Amino acid sequence: MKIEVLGAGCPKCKKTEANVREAIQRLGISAEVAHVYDMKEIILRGVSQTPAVMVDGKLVVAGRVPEVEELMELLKKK
Amino acid sequence: MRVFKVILMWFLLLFGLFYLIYPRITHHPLTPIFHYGNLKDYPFLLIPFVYTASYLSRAWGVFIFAFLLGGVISSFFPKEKMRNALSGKKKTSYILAALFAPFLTVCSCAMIPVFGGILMAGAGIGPAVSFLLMAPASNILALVFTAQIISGKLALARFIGAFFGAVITGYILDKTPWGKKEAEKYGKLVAQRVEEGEERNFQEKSIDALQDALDLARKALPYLLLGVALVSYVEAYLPREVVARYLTGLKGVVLGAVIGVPMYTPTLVEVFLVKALINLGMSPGASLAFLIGAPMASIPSMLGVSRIISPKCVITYAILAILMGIISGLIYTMVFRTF
Repeated sequence: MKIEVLGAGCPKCKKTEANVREAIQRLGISAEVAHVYDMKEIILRGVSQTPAVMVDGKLVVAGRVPEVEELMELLKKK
Repeated sequence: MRVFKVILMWFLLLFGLFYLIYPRITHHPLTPIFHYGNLKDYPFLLIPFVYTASYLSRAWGVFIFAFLLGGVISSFFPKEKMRNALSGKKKTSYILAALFAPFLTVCSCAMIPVFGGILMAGAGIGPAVSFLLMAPASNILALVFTAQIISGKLALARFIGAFFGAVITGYILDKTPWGKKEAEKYGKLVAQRVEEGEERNFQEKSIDALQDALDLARKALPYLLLGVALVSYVEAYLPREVVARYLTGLKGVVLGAVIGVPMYTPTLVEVFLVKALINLGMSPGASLAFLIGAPMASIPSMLGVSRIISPKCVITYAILAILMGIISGLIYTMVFRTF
């Protein structure tokens, strides 16, 4: 599974990445986490609200910081 | 715990509103204000502290209100729907883009993705640029602070001037060949949506709003306080004669719009800087030119945007934006006959 956090590096985006990592750790799954900082790349992917989370190329959260529990639910379904 | 957070959020927002309204009705501030008298009477190193403390005593409720309002806007307003209303190449897109701008983004770091989103919605580069200029020049936090620290009249003028400036600049850029080229480049993109219909309920949104307000405060406050501390030296040591010579009359309006560009930082400090310059004698017209021109043509945002659209477009809108700042300042001067 590939999880990407999209955001230019503001505190909210960093918090999102930290929550994603914690969710993975608590679930005990293995997943690749990447952070896309580049605005151009973010726009080219069609995402217009940051912070955003993409799982395997699909947008799952946009425009807010997701909580760890919420992310765990989302990742369990995948 | 969750219910407590929801109540805390709404209570603090209403309290902030009460703090703003109370002096308007009773003509007394809600809490005592610390007046510093003459800044130069204090030891050099104490000046920033005295100055900042005075503003905190005068505006702490405004801080609470503005940051929470920012949080409420970012979590309660249907941003997706607003952006979709901008689709199609209609003239109304310009007006909507500029009117929605203060609600679409509170934090400047989210500005560029929304800009891209407007391009993807098919509205073309014109409305996207109108949004990009209006958002920093006239966001809710900036307007609340302008109204409270300087005056309601200037805040209203800032909103109106920024609105027309943003719409006209966007419209002109849309007509240039290099503007059209960008619209073609991004017009083909398709916006991605969150797949599951995840509508957040009232409780969740309230908690998001509180969290957003805290994030916003954590991000902006250190820079804001540092900026205000530095402004204290401007107010204490910049000679009145210099301000009177350069920042009044027609020359003042032009210089006001131009000097703002390198001095502007997107953290509300501009409001306090302009207030200090007004205290030293800067004319209202020059202040308005500064408050409209500077945020629109700010260097950090221009650098960010030039990653997305060509530098030629960025320079075009920056020059137009400074012109719009100057024109707003001149109109204000003519309407109120104050030099």
